[in-house]
Amino acid sequence: MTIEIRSLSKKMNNHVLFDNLNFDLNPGKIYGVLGKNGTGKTTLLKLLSGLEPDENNQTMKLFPDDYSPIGIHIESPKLYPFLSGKKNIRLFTSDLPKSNYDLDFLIEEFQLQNFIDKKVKTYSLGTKQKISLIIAIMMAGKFLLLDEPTNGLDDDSIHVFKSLLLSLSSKHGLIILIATHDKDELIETFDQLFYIRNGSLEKVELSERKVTELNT
Amino acid sequence: MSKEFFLYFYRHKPVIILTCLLILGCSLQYLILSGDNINAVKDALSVNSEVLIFQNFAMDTISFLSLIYYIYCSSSSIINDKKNGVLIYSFVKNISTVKVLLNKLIAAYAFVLTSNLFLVLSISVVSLFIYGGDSEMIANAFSLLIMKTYTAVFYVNLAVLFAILVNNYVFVLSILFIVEIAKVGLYSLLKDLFISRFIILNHLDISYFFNLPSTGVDRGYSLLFTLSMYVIYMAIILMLSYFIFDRKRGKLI
Repeated sequence: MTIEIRSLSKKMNNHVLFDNLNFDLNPGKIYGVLGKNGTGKTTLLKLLSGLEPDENNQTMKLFPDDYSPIGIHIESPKLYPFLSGKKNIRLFTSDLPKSNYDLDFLIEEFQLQNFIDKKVKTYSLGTKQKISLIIAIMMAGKFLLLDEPTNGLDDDSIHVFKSLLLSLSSKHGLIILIATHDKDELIETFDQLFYIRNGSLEKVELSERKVTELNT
Repeated sequence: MSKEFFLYFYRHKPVIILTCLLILGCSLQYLILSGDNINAVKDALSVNSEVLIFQNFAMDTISFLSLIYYIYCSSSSIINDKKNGVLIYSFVKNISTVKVLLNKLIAAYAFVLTSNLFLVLSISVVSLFIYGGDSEMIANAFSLLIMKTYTAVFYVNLAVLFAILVNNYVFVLSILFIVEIAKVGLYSLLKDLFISRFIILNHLDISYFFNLPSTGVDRGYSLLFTLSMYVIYMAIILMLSYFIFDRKRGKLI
């Protein structure tokens, strides 16, 4: 199902963040959103996920069903520090109708076996980030929204993460939207890149992504 | 609801805290009622059973401290979630505000009830051990459970409302002291006026309606009237909580 965004506007403190945005997001595609600090990258993700109302005070409901198949990771990892990583994941994903990935598989991919049963308060930023990404991936039935997902991740983890993104989009048809300030880190995963400038989304031309190279 | 309920056990270590309160309350009451003091209390209250006196007085001592604990725990279920940003998962899943809030409130009520049950049962066992059994012990324990939970649930609702408004534990905890001071002040100021019967603070203690050794003040209201006032005020607090929670929804993550 293509997500069609029409006439999306948002002001914040009398400053126009988005002015009448119109764009489509297609299944199986990975979209990148670039922009300087304060241009509204995170706000765009909040608007699309229904966390924040638009200029007309309307909350976007992309999936009108009871269960919204959106996975999200914004700003910092959102976790309970007094629970283990595994308990956090179970707590936030056990009510999902289905998940594209098996938890044990993701734990192994992110090399979290030695940490997963320890309390989150003992984790490094990178480990917390991985747990938060796992929750977002498991929640994302159709749409995955990620804000600065590579923060705190080492090179190996970034590589694993890129492979997962490609697999999620190509095998499971997920729509993935990633807001980042670092274009180079994830550039080879993007099918389409937008740049936020003066309240609008400008398309940036990209060469074809290197799926094969990453999967190997 | 069950997830929220179990979070209380991970987050607040109730077994340790309540056991400490239990030891403190029972020891304190045992010392206070030792020697001839228990006979003086028996004469003053016209109650013959030492075990019922200990059961009530120990629960009264502990319930003030446990109330502070319940206020802290229930407000924490909101403040902590705001601080950790985890409400995002419920909101993204399209879970309605009313469902999120009710989950938290019902879990808080269940926690208060379970904790009070643990305290009442433990105090009864200690009373039994020190003073021996009494045929009225079970009924007395049940009355204590109802009475203390009734009061605590009101404060828990108030704590949740304030926790939605602010992120400050000290402020939320201070409501107990503000309410207690206001209770005494308002009662003495307005006790002769008709309006005083509509002030909720005069309906938070229902111990007068139970046949307990430590009975509350008879203010001349019927149990039905007191319960009606309680339900009305609870409904107002719940509606306010819902309204504010819903309006702040986007800012709670």
